[in-house]
Amino acid sequence: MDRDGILRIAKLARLEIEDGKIEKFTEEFNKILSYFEKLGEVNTKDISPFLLKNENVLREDEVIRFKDRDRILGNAPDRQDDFFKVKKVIEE
Amino acid sequence: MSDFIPTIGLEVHVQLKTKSKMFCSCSTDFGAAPNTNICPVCTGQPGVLPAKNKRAIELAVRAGLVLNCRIEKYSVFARKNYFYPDLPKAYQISQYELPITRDGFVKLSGKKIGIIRAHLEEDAGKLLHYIGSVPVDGSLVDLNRCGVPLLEIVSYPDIDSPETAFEYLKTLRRLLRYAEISDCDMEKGSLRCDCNVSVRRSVDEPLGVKTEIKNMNSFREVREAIAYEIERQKKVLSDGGKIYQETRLWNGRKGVTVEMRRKEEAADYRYFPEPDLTPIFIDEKIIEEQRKLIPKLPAERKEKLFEMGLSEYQVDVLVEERKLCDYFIAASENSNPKEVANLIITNLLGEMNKKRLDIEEVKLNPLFVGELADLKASGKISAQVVKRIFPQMFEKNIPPSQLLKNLNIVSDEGKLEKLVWEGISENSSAWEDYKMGKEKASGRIIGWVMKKTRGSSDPATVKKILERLKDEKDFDN
Ligand SMILES: [Zn+2]
Repeated sequence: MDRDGILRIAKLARLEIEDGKIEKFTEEFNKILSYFEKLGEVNTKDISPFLLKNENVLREDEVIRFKDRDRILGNAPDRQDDFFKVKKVIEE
Repeated sequence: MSDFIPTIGLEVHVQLKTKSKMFCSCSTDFGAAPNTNICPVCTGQPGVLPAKNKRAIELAVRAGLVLNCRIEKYSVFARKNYFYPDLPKAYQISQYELPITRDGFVKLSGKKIGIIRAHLEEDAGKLLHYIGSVPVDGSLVDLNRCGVPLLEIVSYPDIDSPETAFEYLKTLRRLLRYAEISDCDMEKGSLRCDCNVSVRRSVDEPLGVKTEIKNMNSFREVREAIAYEIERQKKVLSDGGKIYQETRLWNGRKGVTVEMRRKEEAADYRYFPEPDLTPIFIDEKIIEEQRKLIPKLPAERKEKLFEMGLSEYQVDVLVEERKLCDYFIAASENSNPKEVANLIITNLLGEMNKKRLDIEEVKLNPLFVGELADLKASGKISAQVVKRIFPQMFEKNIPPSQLLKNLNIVSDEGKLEKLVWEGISENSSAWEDYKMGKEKASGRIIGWVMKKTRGSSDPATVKKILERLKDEKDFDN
């Protein structure tokens, strides 16, 4: 992962990285990636990615009303009446 | 302008007919007050876990069958990552590498349109910029729709004209409604359609750069938007310009597509398998259960209706909606099918329209319609009588025989004969012609009697009397 890669990922994640910290991030990112590469050393051929029975885990199609929606609305940084309010979205 | 060949592919999102959302138990009710159908799961609160809706998965399987797709034994959900205020988790749960169904087709009158895949995903919320007509100093978010189960149906770029796109959409909607997979109601947002359009000068050339058009509110608008976009691209290319890969919005008021977002680099959604959900396993048992729930589909019904002698127009109207077609089949079981079709299309649909009722809400027993059709077909009652008694039949679910009794239909031959004599003296030249052997001339006299009795006499009886009077006259001479 190079500098450009870090900047691209930061952009996708809507993160701002100070110029001076890009090198540090690059280094740390690469450390993480190489740590994960350890997983590649394990032979996973013919092993299914999920360790469970081939059985569906499903929920019946029933409506259960959540009773505390005001807490959800209240958690938002801004609201107007019963709407969440965000900065103006230009596209439309 | 040299000729161009258009290439069109459609991405259709339909809302699956479930009571609750895809991964939580919130209601999918349309038109609920803002943010009333929300919970920690569909608003993306930390620490929650999604749980798959069984019915949504069954409906996806059913859709796969109706679309002649292969149903995958094993499929998984994936996260599609992007930031937008209508998506509180900052990812949409969708399917990517392993969709639940793929490789199907929809048969149109002239050709087959291939289906690349039909996969499950969840809808996003809704953004509002106005309250009434007052602009908001920001954007408002309603998450009622967030998490509603959708099936995205992606066609191959097999469509070569706006008309074919229109026919494909109508056929698709009919199939999905017949099988009760989706209401496919664009006004209620349970069907949305995005179109990929490109043009090229010949089939030997690679496909041209495509644009994606969005924001159409009806099938008619889809057809118009595609037609506009094809012409726009042709003109740009003919003038030596370049088509950019971009998303364009249809403006229905102005009848044009407008650039919305140019894709300089391919959108990077960083799809990866959804770690919070186990895979979907589909076995023969589920497939067979769903297969049994699919009724006879429009194509098969069309054939049967043609065999019954109905016109193309009648067939088209009757197969459009499954429940209407079922009604017709019930009504025509022991009755004249052409006459039943007439009554349903003219009178029944007329009354439904007047009262703004759906076929599900009609109380009139279809057998009564059959009975009326036979009375009409055998000439026992006229079209005017039908017109007079149908609204009452419709409203009160009364058999026609009973209504005719109450209606004081002039069937007393003595009384009728008097009227026929009156008709003769009012139309003496027609009477002379008729006596000379001009059969058609009788129509004027019969018509006069019908008018006089305001349609409540039986034309066949009037005719019979007229014939008898003519024979008696012949005898006198
Ligand atoms: Zn919810």
